[in-house]
Order: sequence, then C-alpha cells, then structure tokens
Amino acid sequence: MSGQWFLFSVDLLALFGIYLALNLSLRLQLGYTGIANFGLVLAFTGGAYVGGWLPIRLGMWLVEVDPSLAEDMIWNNVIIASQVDLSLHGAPGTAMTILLITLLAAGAAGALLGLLSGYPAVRLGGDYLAISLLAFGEVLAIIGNNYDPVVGGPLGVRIPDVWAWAGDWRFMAASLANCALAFGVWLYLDSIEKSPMGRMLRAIRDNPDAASSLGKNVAKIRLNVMVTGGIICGLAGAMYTLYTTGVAPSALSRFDWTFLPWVMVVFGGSGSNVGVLIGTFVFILVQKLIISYKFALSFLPFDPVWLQFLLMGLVLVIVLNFRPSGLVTEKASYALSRREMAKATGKETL
Amino acid sequence: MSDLLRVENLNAGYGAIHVLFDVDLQCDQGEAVAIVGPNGSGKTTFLNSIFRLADIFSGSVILEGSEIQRERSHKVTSRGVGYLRQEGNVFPGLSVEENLRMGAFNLPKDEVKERIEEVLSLVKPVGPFLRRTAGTLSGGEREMVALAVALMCRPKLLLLDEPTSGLSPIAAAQIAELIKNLKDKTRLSMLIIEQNLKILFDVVDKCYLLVSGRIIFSGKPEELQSDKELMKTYLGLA
Amino acid sequence: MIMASFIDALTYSALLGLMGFGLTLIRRTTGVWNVAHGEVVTIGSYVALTATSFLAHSPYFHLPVAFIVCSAVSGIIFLVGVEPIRAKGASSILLLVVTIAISLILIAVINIYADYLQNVFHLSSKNFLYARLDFTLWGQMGILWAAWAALAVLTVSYYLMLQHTRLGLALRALAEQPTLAVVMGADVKSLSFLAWCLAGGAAGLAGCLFPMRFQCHPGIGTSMIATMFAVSIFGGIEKMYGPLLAGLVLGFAQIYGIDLLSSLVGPGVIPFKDLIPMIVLLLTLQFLPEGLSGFVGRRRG
Repeated sequence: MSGQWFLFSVDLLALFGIYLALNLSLRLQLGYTGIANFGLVLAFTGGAYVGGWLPIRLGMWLVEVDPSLAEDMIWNNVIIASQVDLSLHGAPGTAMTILLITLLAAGAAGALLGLLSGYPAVRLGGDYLAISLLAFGEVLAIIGNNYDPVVGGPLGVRIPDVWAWAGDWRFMAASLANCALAFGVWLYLDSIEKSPMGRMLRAIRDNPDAASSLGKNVAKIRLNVMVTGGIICGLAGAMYTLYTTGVAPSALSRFDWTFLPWVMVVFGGSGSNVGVLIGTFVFILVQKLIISYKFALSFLPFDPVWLQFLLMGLVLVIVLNFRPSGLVTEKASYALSRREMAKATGKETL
Repeated sequence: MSDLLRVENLNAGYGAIHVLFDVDLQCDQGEAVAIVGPNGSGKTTFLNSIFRLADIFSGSVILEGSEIQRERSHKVTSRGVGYLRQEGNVFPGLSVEENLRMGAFNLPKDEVKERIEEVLSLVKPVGPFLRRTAGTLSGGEREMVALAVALMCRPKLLLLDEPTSGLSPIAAAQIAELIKNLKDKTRLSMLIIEQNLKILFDVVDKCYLLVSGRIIFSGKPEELQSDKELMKTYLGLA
Repeated sequence: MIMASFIDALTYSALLGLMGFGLTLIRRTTGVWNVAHGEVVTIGSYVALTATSFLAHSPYFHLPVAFIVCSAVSGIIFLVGVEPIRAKGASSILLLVVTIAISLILIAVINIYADYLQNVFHLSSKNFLYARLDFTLWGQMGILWAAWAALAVLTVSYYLMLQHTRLGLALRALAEQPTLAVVMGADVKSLSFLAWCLAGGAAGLAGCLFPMRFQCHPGIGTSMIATMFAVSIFGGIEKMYGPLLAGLVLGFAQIYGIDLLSSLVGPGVIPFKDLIPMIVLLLTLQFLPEGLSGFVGRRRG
C-alpha cells in the first residue's frame, strides 16, 4: 500500500469513528425516542471547545512550560502547544491523563448542553422540537466566533497532540481511538436494544400519550435521552479536536455536524445500528473521494466541493422518495428468545 | 337502472393493510342504506374508499354509471357526493358561515348564498349560530353544523359516518330526526354507518352487515332484525 | 449614530418580516417547516445581482423578476421535492428532512452559479452591496420605504386574500383540517402549490431588497434561516400578521437594542447580536408557545 493510500485510509477511519459515534447518538435520539435533534452540532461544538480549551492548560500544568507565556494564551498558543507537544512525546502517561480529563469534561459539557437545549424543547411536538433545536445549534458558533478567550475566535487555536507519543503511528492510534469510541457507543445502544428501557423508548417514540398514560414521565425520559445523546456528541467533538490537534469555530458548521449526520442516518435507516454504520461509511467514503479528486476536477468553472452538497441532497431526496425508512429497516425486537417464546405459547415455531 | 352507487368486488385498505375483501354494495336513487357491523370491521374504510381516502387495490366504484375509483379525492365531491366524517368534520377555527361556504367550494359563486339558505331551511337548528366559531360549539351543535356543511355541495349521495356517536340521547334524537326529515323532503340517497340501531332501523331501506371486511348479510332491516343469531353475534343485540 | 441604526433596524425588521412571512404561510397551510426557505431568499439576492450586472438599472426594477423567479423555485421545491413524499403520508420530521435535502441542493446550485459568475464574467459575486444605487426619499434611503412598502403590501394583500376570497378561505380550511378540505372538493395539491409560490415570492422580494442595505454572499439566506425560524415561531403561526410583529421586535432587538446595550455595558456585546433571536426563541417556547399573535389573540378573547 502506498503512503498516500495509507494516509487516506487512516483519515477515513478516523472520520468514520467520529461520525459513527455522532450518528449513533442521533439514532438513540431519533430512532429510539423520536427526538428529531437538528442541533447535534451544539453538543459536538461544546465538546470541541473543551478539547480546544482544556488540554493546553492541563499540559502547561503537567509539563514544564515557560509560565510567562500563560499571560496571553491565545497569542502564545502555537508556542505553548509545541512546547507541550515536545514533552508529551516521551510521556504517554501524561498524554493519556490529559486525554481522559478532557473527555470527562467534554462529556460533562455535552450533557449540560443536552440539558440546556432539551429543557425548553422536550415538551414540544415533532417538528417544533426539531426547529427549536436547529436554532439553538447556532448558539455556540456565534459565541466561539466572537469571543476569543474560548478557542481564539474564528481562526481557532492549535492544541497539544495527546497522541504524539505514538510517533509514526500517531494517526493510526488516534483513528483507532475514535473507532473505539464509536464501538463503545455501539455496545451501549446494543445493550439498550433488548432491554426494557429500549422498549420504553420506542413506546415513547410511537405513542407518547399512551406511554405517559402508563405512568412514564415522557418529558423527563426524553430529556434523559437528550442528555445521553449530548454526552456522546460532546465526546465525539473532543476526540475530533484531539485528532486534528486544532479547533476553529468557523469549521464547526451546521452542515458538517448536523445535516451530514442526518443524511447518513436517514440514508442508512434510523431504525438499525447496522444501517447507521453503512450510511456513515458510504458518505464518509464519498466525501473523502470527492476531496481527494478535487484537483482532477479543476477544469470545472466552480469549486468541486459543491458537487458534494449536490450529491448528498439528491441522494437524500431519492432515498426519502423510494425508501423513507432507510436502507436497513427496523426489526421488531422480542422480549423473550425464540425458545422461551415457544415454551410460553406451547408452539414449536413462531 | 335506477342505481346511484354500485360497488363491485371492492378490495381496499391502507398501504400494506388489507381491510375490505370483495365488497359488493348497491344504493338506489332516493334510498337510505345502512352499513352495520362491529368495530374495526371496515365500515369507515368503506366510506373512505368511495372518496379514495383509502387505497383501492381492485374492484370498482360506480356512481351514476361511471367509474370513480380512479378519480382524485377532491373531484368526487363535484360528482355529487357529500361526506359527513365521524371526526374532524368541521373547521374549528372558522366561523359556521365560513364552514358552510367552504362546503360549497365547488358550487358557482353566485349560488352559494342561495344554497346556504336552502340548507338552513333543511337543518334549522344551525341558523342561530352562523356567526359563532365552529370550535366553540357543543358536540351536538357541531354535528348539526357538520351535517349542514356536508349538504352544501348539493349532494345526490350523502355518506354519514356515525352521525350520532358520542352525542347525548337528546342530541342524537335530534340528528336522527333531521336525517329522517332529509329523507322525506329530498330525493337524497344516503349511506349511513350507525351504531345506534334503534334510531336507524325505521329510516333505512336496506342493510348491509360488514364483518372483518366482508359483507355477510344484506337485505331489509326487518330481515336483519329477525335473524336473532346475527343480531346477537355481531351487533350485541338480542 | 443611533439614528442610523434606528433606520437599519427598521429596514432589517421589514426584511425579516418578509422572510418569516413565507415560513409562516407554508407552515400554516401545508404543515412543513421549510429549511430551504433561506436559499430561496439567497436566490432573490442573486436575481438582483444578475439583473443589475447584466441589465443595469437599480435592483428595484427587478423586484417583479425576483418575485416570479423565487415563486417558481419555491413552487418547484414543493411539487418535485415535498409533494411526492407528502402524498405517501410522510411525517412532519421526514418532510423537514426533505427540505434540508433540497436546501443542500440549492446551496450547491447557488455557489456553483456564484463561482461561475466570478470565474467567467469576473463579477464580484461572492460579496455585493448596492447601497450606492439606492435613491433618497424624505431624507432617508429608499430601501427603508421599499422594504416597508413591500411588507405592508404583502401582508395586507395576503390578509385580504385569506379573509375575503374563496381561495383564501380554502387555504385557511386546509391549514385546519386538510382531509375535510379535500372532502369538500378543495384540491390540496394546487392550494399548497399556491401557498408555496406566494411564500417564495415574499422571500424573493426580501432577497432582492437585502443587498440595498446589507452585504450579501452565497450563504446569506442559509446563515439567516435560524433567525427566520425565530421570527416565525415568535410571531406565532396562527395569524398572518405574526411575522410582521415578530420581525419588528427581533429586528429592533438585534440592531437597535444591541446599540443601546453597548452604550451601557461597552462595545463588547455587539458581536453577540445574533444570539438575540435565539434567546427570544427560547423565551417564546418557554412562556409564549403560541407566539406573539396567539398571545394577542388570546388576550382579546
């Protein structure tokens, strides 16, 4: 495998992990509970800001850096980051400590944002909820772009590389870590799938009134789901930042981190983990390919990046027309296994 | 032939759900036909499929000799079919008068006023609350308005989906009286779904018993009433 | 300084009102929140750019063109994108997703067009402002009068149409009980199409007027969609004058209010003016779920 293709695949894998985690969070909210969260970008941005703000400060505290630099964290950002980087090269323990603390904080930030955006919104019905969340999704971008102390304004900041200790395998390690996050979320959803909680969530999705008449506090459960979803998005945001070693508010767009996940999930099918996985993979691949072949398309009188928008929009319209539940549809889940069911009903087969 | 509506071999439902199986039905000029049957047997689906609000899989719906099962829903009205739905049968935010005007959507503009007066003379109780907002009316009042609205389009055939359900006995009797009146005064044909059989039996000329999407009995109401077995099993009446 | 921003606020409110108006109309009649509405506004701005660059004259002359083009675009969005999926009984969420898909397509088309104008005709199509082409009337920029005239004419004529014509009655009926409207012989498809066209036209006017006072770029409508939703929800979708009222309040809060605030607490707050619509939206959802017009209506009885 040539070096270029290796890098391509590793980057693909990294983005795949991030998006899969994000998309599974959407699946939890939309597929299980019927919350149309059009503000995924909010908690993701929150996590990314934590990733931009915290590691460099933790780094300064844990390793030796000229303390006078701290007087202007934004101005001296690049110098501090590279000094911390140098120390982290030989200190995987320190780096992993930074990573863990950052993730904890990012998860907390995501939870808080899920709570804040969910609190006024969960009582609303379907599309009202969606629109409100879409509007709230803009809030952090506005703050980040205009308030420099967060992550340095629109141009953003560089952050220390917590994967620096892996040397040549740095990108590989970071990509695998992203995928590990996605895998963790996958396991979590899988455990919900067959549990009473999963059935309750689907009940709320399909008929909130009936669920509430059975004594379920629908608003509270929805809020819980939004908080959980927020935690996942926050973690994904932080992991993404740590992977790219930089964060810029202007790059955390509604298109990339709300609409794109929606396209992937709707394409793959919000009723199935496998569907979400397929949707994620297909679109990440297409996106990477378009970017890779951008120069081959330079004869066009416009920026080929718009082809990606065009393609996604068209695919989405077609999927919604011909297969509105996505490629992979939801299967009914049974509380009892086949054998238990057979025993209970006295029949051999179902 | 004097038949106004003839339904042949109708198979209908919603999407993948098959509700009606090979239903045949005939309603002659000026006749009142009742469709009775237990809940969930497909009575409303039958009325909906005349308006193509349900999906028709096969069979035909023939109104005055021409097939209408492929007609788009809103065109059925202009062929002379009025439909009083069981739920959502008035526009709650509009005034009663606006509701009536909306009912006359397909009439020429200059006939609307005249038609409102005609309908008000048929459904007298609606007169006093022309200016009220439909959503503020009581259940019985609303049902009368809904009936008036369904009559606005000068129907030859009126579909009535449980016009007395959920009403107090007094209001139900009032509605039944109005329906009886309509039948006596006009040559209107009616297709009625009704739970309240006692009110129904002295109005209708013919009965169909629909069970699980199939017609299992058709004939005069007296014949149905005399068949104790059917009455008991499907209608809960001895 | 304060006077200038007062005029800015007035103009901006009128344009916001025009934009929110279309969203409200579409949501009222067809129950869809149209995310692609932002791009329809942008298309209005690009009609102004194209017509002004190739045909000269002031953009005011091209208002009818913008109205027609954007009506057509909005109508096509409905017929090609929304209606086929709606006919299959899609949920409101799925319809919202459809409009997002269409919005992505339109973003691509608008940007490709802007790139094309720039690369082939060397127009500054990614950043334009026509304030220099504006006229003055009674000591104020023409845009102020034009924006308010457009909003007033639209609101009044749409109001008259909704209240006093058979078509308007049908549109209102459609908003309340779509199935019943069908049973009464109203053709839902054509009525909805009409509503989308009217909404698109209003957005086109707003888009065409926008570069007379404010800097425009290919993402202008997209970046304002959240604000438009705030206008629509804050105004309440029950009454047609909702967006007018809400546009006024939000426009003033965003421009005039922030000036006032900055003279009190310092200029640091100015960049955060875009947060104001979100805060208003938040408060609306919490305390006034049926919006301003619903609230006013309720008070009156």
